[in-house]
Amino acid sequence: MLAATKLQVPPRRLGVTRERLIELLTAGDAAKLILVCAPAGSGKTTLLSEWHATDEERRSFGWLSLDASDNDTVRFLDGAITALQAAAPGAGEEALGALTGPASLADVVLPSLINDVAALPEPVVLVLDDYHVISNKRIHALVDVLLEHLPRTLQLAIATRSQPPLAVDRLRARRDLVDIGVDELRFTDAEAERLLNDILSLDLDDGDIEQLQSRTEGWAAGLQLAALSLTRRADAHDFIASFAGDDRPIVDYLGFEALDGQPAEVRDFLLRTSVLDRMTGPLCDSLLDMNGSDAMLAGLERAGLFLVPLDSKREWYRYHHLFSGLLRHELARTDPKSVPELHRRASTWFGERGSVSEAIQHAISAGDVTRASELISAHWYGYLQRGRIETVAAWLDELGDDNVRTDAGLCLTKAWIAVNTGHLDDVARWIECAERIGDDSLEVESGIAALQEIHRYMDGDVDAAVAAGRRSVERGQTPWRPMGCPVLGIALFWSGHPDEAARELERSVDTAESAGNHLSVIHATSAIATIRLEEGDLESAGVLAKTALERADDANLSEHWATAMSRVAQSRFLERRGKLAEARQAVDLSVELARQGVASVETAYSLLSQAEVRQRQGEREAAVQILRDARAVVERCPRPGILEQMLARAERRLRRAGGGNGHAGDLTDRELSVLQLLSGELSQREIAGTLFVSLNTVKSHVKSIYRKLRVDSRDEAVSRARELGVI
Amino acid sequence: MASQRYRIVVAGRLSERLGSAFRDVTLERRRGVTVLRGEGQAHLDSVLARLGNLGIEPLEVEQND
Repeated sequence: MLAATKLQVPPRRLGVTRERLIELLTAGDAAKLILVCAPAGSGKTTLLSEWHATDEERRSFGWLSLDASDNDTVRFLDGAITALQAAAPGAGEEALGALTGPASLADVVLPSLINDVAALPEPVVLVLDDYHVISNKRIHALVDVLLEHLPRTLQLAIATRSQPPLAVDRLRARRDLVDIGVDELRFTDAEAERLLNDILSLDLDDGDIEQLQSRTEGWAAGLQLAALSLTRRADAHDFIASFAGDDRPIVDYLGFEALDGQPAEVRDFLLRTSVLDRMTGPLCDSLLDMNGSDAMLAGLERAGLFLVPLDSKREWYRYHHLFSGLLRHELARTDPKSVPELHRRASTWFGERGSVSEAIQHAISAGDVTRASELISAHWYGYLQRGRIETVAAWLDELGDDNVRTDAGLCLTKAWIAVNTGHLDDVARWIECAERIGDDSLEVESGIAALQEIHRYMDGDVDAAVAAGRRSVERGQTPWRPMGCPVLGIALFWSGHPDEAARELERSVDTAESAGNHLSVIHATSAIATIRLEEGDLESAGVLAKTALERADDANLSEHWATAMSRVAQSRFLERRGKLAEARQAVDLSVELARQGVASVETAYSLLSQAEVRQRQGEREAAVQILRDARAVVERCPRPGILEQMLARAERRLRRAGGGNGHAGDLTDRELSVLQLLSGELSQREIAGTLFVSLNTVKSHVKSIYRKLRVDSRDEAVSRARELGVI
Repeated sequence: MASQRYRIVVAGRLSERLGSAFRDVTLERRRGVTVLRGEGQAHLDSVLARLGNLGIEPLEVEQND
C-alpha cells in the first residue's frame, strides 16, 4: 500500500557537487546518526542523494521520504523497514510480519529488527527525509530506542527542518553524530559561482555574485530562484541590484518574480496542481480537464521550476516544498474558490486507483464530508486490521467531531478507537452519539450492541455485557460481531453461567481461528482454562493454559494482557508440581498484564489469585494487602458477578488462616511443595523422585509438616492444609 | 479558556501579496521586520508551518494569555 515513490532515492538533478559536505558524510561513516538540519530550500535532500550516488560511498542505501500521513506508528515502521530492505533484502521480515498484529512495537518488533540488522554482512545507510513532519511522540520514542541500540551495521541519516525531539545530545557527546546544519549547507562563493556561471551559464561578474551571496546568505533555494529569473533577463546586473536593495523575504521577492515570469498557462498549471502532494501526468490531466500534462511536467523540470522527480522513469513528481508553499499560498489568494473542487477531483482520481489514504485526505481537504465519511466507513476496518488505528483516528480528527456526529457508523468507529486506547468515557459517549442518530440498519444496531458489550465488560458490568452480547449475536454476522467475539463468552462465565460460557467460548475460538485472530484465540482459550480451573479440573486448565501461552509465544504476544487468565491457571498448575517460585512469577505477571488491559474483573481475578499464592507461601501480610486492592477493584465494578463471592471466600479463608492454631506461615517452601504433592496420588517415594531428593528427606519433611499442622496422618494434613488455604 | 494570542517576528518586510493570504493574521511592518499576530495554538502551528514552507524562519515566537 506504500507508494513506491516514497522509497526511491530522488534522482540526482543538475547542480553543484558539494565535495566538502560529501567528505564530511563519507568520513562520518562510523557515526550512528547523520543529522542534516536546516530550513526548507537549503539543499538537504539534494545533498543526501548526491552522497548516495558518489563513488566514495560504497554502502547500500534505503530511503524513506516522509509525509504527514507517516505519523501513524505502524505506517512509519512499515515504511522504514521496507526502505531498509531495499538496502538489505530480507532484513526485518519478521518485524514486518509482527507489525500489523497486537504485538508490542518496542518489545517485539524493534528488537527483532535490531537483531536482523546486527547480522547484516555489510553496513547500510537508512535515510529518513523530511523528518520534521513527524509529530507523533510514540514515533520519536521508537526512533530513540532504535538509536540507542543501533548496531554498527546501520547508519541513520535524518534530514529535517527543525531539531528533532530525539536524544541526540547523548550521541553528540559520544561523537556518534555528524551534524550538518544551515551554516554548512550555505553555498560558498566558489560554489555559487560554479552554479551560476559554470552550470547555468549566467555569466555574472564577481560583484553580482557577491551581492547575490550577501542577500541570500548562500541559501540554495534563493540562488536557484534568482537564477530562474536571471535566465530570462538581459539586465542581470540591474535585477540583482534591485533584489539586493529590497527588504522583502527572499521567496516573497524572487518567488513571485519567477512565477510572474511564466506564461499564463504554465502559471495556471503550477497554481492548480499545487494542491497535490505528488503528481503524475494523468492525474494532472484529470484535475485540469486537459491533455498533455506529461509534456508540461517534463518541461517544468527542464526549466528548473522546482519540480522534484520521484522516480527514475519520471512518472511521478512533486514540487519542492518551498515552491509548493508559495504556489498554494498564491492559489489561496487569487482563486480560493477553486481549491475544494481541485481536491475533490484528486480524491476521485486516487479513489478510482485504490489509493484510499490519498482519496480520503483530498476529500477532507475538499471539505466534502459526505465523500470522506463514505470512504472512511468503507475502509476503516481494513486499516484497523493492518494495525493502522492511528491513521483512522487522524482521519476522524481531521474530519472534526461535529461531522463525525452526523454518521452513526463513524461514531461507532470513534468508539472502537476509544476501546483500543482504553478511554472508557469516550467509548460510552460515542456509543450514545450513535444511538441518538437513530439509524436502524442491521449493521449499526449490531455495532452498537457489540461495542456496548465490550464497554460494559471493561467497566465491570458483566450482566449488561451479556445482555448486549446476546443482542449483538441476534443481529447476525456483521463486520462488528467478531469484535465482541470472545467477550460474550467470558462475561457469561463471570455472570455465573459456566456451561453456556464454555460453549460460547469454544465457538469463539473457532471463529477467531478461521479469521486468523490470534489475540481472540488466546483470550478465549485463557477464559476456558479459567472455567476448568474454577471447576477444579486442574489438569485440563493446565493444558489449556499451556496451549494459549504457546500460541501467544508464537505470535509474539507473551506480554499481552490477553494471557493474564492463562497465567493464573499456569500458576496453580506449577504450584501443584511443587514449583513455588515459578508459580509466584506466573501469578505476578498475570496481575501486571491484567492491569494493562482495561477489564476490571480480570484484574480483580488475578489479584485474588496472587493473594492466595502469597498466603500459601506464608506471606499473610502481603496477602491481606493484595486482597484489599482486589476489593477496591471489585467495588468499582457495577456488577462484578461471581467475583463478589470469590472475593468474599478468599477473605474468609485468609481470616481463618490468621487464627494461629498450627498455621501455614511456619512451613518452609520445601515443606509446602511436599504438602502440595501429598494432596495428590503420589507415594512418598514418588514424591522424592519428583523433587530430586532422597526418600529420607521427604520423610523428615512430612514429619515436620505433621508437627507444624498438629496432625497425625496424610489425610489430616491435606484437609487441614485445604482449610488453611495452603493448597 | 480564552485562546492564547501569539506574535511572530520574521526578518524582512512581507509584501501585501504574500501577507494577504494569511487569514486572521494582522501584519505590522517595521524597520527590517514584520510582526504577525493572531490567536490560538492550532492557528499558530499552521502559520508557522506555512512560513516554514516558504523558507521563512521566525526570529521570535511569543504567546501570552
